[in-house]
Amino acid sequence: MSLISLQNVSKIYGEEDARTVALESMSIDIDAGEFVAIMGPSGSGKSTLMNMVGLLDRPTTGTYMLEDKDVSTLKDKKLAELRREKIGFVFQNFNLLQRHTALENVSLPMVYKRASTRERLHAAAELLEKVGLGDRMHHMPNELSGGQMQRVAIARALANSPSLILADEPTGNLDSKSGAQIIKQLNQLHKDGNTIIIVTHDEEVALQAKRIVRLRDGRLDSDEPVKAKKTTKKAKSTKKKSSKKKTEKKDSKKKPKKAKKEKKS
Amino acid sequence: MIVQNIRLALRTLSGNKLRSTLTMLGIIIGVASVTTVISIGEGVKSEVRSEINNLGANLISVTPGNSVTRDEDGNIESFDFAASFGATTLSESDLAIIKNNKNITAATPLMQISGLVTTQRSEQENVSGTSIIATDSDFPEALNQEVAEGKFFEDSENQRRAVIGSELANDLYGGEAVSGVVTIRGENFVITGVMEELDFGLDFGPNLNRAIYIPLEVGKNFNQGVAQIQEIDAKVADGADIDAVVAEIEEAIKANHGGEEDFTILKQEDFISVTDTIFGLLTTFVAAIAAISLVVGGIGIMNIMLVSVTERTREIGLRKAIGANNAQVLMQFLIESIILSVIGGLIGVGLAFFIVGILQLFTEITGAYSLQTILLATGVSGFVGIIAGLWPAWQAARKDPIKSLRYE
Repeated sequence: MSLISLQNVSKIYGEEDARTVALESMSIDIDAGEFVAIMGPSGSGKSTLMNMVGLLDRPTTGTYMLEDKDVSTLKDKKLAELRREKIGFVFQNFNLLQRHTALENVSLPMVYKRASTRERLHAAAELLEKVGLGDRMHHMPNELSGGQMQRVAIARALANSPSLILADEPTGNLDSKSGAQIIKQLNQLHKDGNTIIIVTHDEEVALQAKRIVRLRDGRLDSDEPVKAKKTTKKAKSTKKKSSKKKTEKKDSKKKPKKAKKEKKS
Repeated sequence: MIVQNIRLALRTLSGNKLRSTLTMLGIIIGVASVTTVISIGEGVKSEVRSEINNLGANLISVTPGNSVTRDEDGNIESFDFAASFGATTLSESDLAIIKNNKNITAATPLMQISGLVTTQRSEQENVSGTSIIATDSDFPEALNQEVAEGKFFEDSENQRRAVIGSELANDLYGGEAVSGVVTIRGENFVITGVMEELDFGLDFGPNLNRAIYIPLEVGKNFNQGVAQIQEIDAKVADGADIDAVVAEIEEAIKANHGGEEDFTILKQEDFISVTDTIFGLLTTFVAAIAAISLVVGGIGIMNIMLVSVTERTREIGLRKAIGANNAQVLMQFLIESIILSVIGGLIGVGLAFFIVGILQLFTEITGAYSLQTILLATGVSGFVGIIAGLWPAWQAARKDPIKSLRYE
């Protein structure tokens, strides 16, 4: 049973002359416990896909099943509730509240769950310990390094024990050392059984995932598992491979779709 | 959730103290001015009330002219001050009618006499600020006043005797006024008594502490032997029904005047209701003007809240992404606006306390505070906060989370 199942999902902005197709009949399944990287050039629709999967946006057509429930036409209030319960976001620019301590930032999602202050802070403290910031709980975001801020954000994403963690360019604003730490952290979360979807430009980061989904012009370009251990060199070689593949993509694109349909029936 | 929101709002607001203070300023000034006006108005009202009660609750006054219009319940509808001026319609026979009523314990005429008062203490000097009132021996009892020194003149003493107010006694004789002499319109009067000091905070009539009382019979001599009675004050016996007594007297005087109702009888209640009405209107009017600053304050809050919503677009996006629904975002900003306004209101009430305190130190004005005023001020500022915050909060609530998260 898939955690996420998108079927022929399209997202169209504007009408008539101003009509822009951000996603075109996209179908993709992600199982619980997967670690998926979504890649693609800007304008390829990966942000739209991310927003859709993160329940910040609804598809124009098609269905989105989250934990076997159709969430494609839910009302704002219900979507907010599902975001709170099921999804943890990690952003490129961390998005921490500046006047709040690390602890308070982490406990924020629980505020909207109406948890008591004690409960919240207690849970938040545990999460900060988990990401190795037990000694920074009462620091303000401006007293933390970029890597530490992102770890606070990861702890926050874990706050309501979500089914899915969505990381949008989590290493984009970090130096390579901190970036590596964040990836390590995400890897650890994956090993703990969390489902993680990461959007990235960075091949090296993507190779840390177990599956890479590539988008182009709002369509699925490729969707393949990551093989074995990889180094920088290998990453470069896969890049070349993928560009070579582009010519064959039309054939390869249809295959996974068919495979999925078969699975369902 | 509400508690969380309040805490959050306090933190947000204290994070930008200067801005919050400036935003609150409008409300502070508005609430302070309204509260000050109301409390001074209330103070004056209670002052007048206590002044009237000083004279005794069962005092009735008969004045010439039909100066009031009453509704069916006997409450005064309108008041015509001018009607009581001019040649009086009250006579000594009216006074006798009142005095003879079995439920009246004392009745006294008041006849104000114009004239120059001098003393012969050292060299001849004019005494200013006095009023000469011809009356009779019922005066102290009818008006609930005591003679502090000496005694009041008797009606039998048709002689040039005078009783003077305490302030005048101090001015002229340093307190030892009894047996002194004052000259009124060239005639010498021996002072037989000094009245106790009357504690009138605000005075609308003549200053009775500077009055000179002379016997009515003597006073008539200054008016070609005719009593020109401007007012008859009478005290209704304790336990008697004042309304019934008033009705009785009204009938009797009307009959005496050939059926014409060319006089007015006022009870203390009437004075209270008249002053309440006048000051109530005045207070409401000034408070309404002051309330304009509340509106301006509300607009200030709305303006800053709109700025704040725009500035915090990213925060709103984040909160929505992590699960805040529209209502929760709306509440956050609405509560912030209400808190801003209510704190401003409380500071305003405090400021009003301070202003009235200063006024009380340097003027004779007394302010009256009621819990009601404070609750009203807080309630009104809370209301302003809601109205001012609604639109900005709605703007925040309807923001699209995706666009908000990307907002720079």
